[in-house]
Amino acid sequence: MRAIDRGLCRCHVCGKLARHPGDGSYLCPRCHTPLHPRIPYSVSRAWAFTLTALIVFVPANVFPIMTVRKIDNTIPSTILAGVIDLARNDMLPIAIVVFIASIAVPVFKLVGIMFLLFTVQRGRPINAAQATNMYRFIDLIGRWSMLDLFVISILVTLVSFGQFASIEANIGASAFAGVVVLTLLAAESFDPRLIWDLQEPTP
Amino acid sequence: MQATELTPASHGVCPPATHLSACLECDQLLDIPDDQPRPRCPRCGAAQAPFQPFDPTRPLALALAALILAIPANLYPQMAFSLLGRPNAYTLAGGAWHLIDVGFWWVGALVLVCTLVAPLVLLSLIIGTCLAWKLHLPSSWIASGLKLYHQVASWVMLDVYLLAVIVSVVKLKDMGSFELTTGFFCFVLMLVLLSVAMVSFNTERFWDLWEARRAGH
Repeated sequence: MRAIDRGLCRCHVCGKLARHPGDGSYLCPRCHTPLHPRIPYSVSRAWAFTLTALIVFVPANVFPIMTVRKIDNTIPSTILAGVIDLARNDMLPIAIVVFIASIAVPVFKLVGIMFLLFTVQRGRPINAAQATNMYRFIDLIGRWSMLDLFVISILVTLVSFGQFASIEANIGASAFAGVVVLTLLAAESFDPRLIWDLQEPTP
Repeated sequence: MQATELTPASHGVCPPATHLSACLECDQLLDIPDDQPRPRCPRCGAAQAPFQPFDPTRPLALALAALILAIPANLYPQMAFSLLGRPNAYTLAGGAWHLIDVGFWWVGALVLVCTLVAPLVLLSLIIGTCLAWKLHLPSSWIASGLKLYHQVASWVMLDVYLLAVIVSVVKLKDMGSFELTTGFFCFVLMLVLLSVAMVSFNTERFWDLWEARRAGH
């Protein structure tokens, strides 16, 4: 039995189970937050964030995220080039970690959310337990994409020796930060309860 | 725990009380027993907030300890790197500020929020709401603190930062002399305390206490 079938709704802020008889707007009796049986406009908000993230994803990978400057040479590197560089220099475990955090995770998140959105819009029942697990996984891994940005912050600050050697941030980093925030917002806007609503026989 | 047979006359032995709740991930109506430390939704498996009694003393103590450690963790450099005898040091605020300074204000601000502002605000909120509860301060203060806590919590990314430090160690160790300094060890301790404080700070049960006190007055 779903809470919505009984005209109940759990407040997403304070956790109170409150009455919400169908249409109309109601406030939580305890904390006075507006109650929503489902996140309002969940699918369109999630689509908006996902599509924007998809667009920003292109410059994030095409443009270099940082430039390593030494006396004799200047090497700009993109995310992928950074991973390859780590792997070549016998730092395979770290290369794998960075690859997962900054390439595999964003791609998987974007593809995963789009899959969930398509499924919900198609409206046919699916294996809800599996889809929920996928949603949880997307939600869990999202923040780990911040890894590369923290690394850039550390490297840029520590390696600044003027003309000798310096590491500078590039425009790709800004775009990548955009992708991370947008995918976080997309995952937050998606309401996993919609997956389970597909199981219910439609009247 | 062994099941006890129901004997209405004996003291203190009765079946655990249950509370009606709804799963936030699949909207299933749930009956959660009082004594379960980690209840889960039987349909989708989502973790639910336990109904065990909540005491604000514990998160208060942990958050205070974390806040004290946050002082050296932020004031002392966390990493030092030197090349040809010229040293550079990294502090959380300094790193983010450096990025903002060279024009990457958006990345810098994001790093600043996730590693410094959000954790400190979160700690202050835990301490503030628990203290306000203990000192019987106006209940509306506690309510706004608890609402804000909800929004800040997802932006605390200190665990990701910890991994970033490890990646940086590997990247820099061949370039020059790199060392982790006092600030970093204080930071790790602070991270542990902050995580434990966040787990023990059960906002839903805090709301229950809040409601009960409000009704009593």
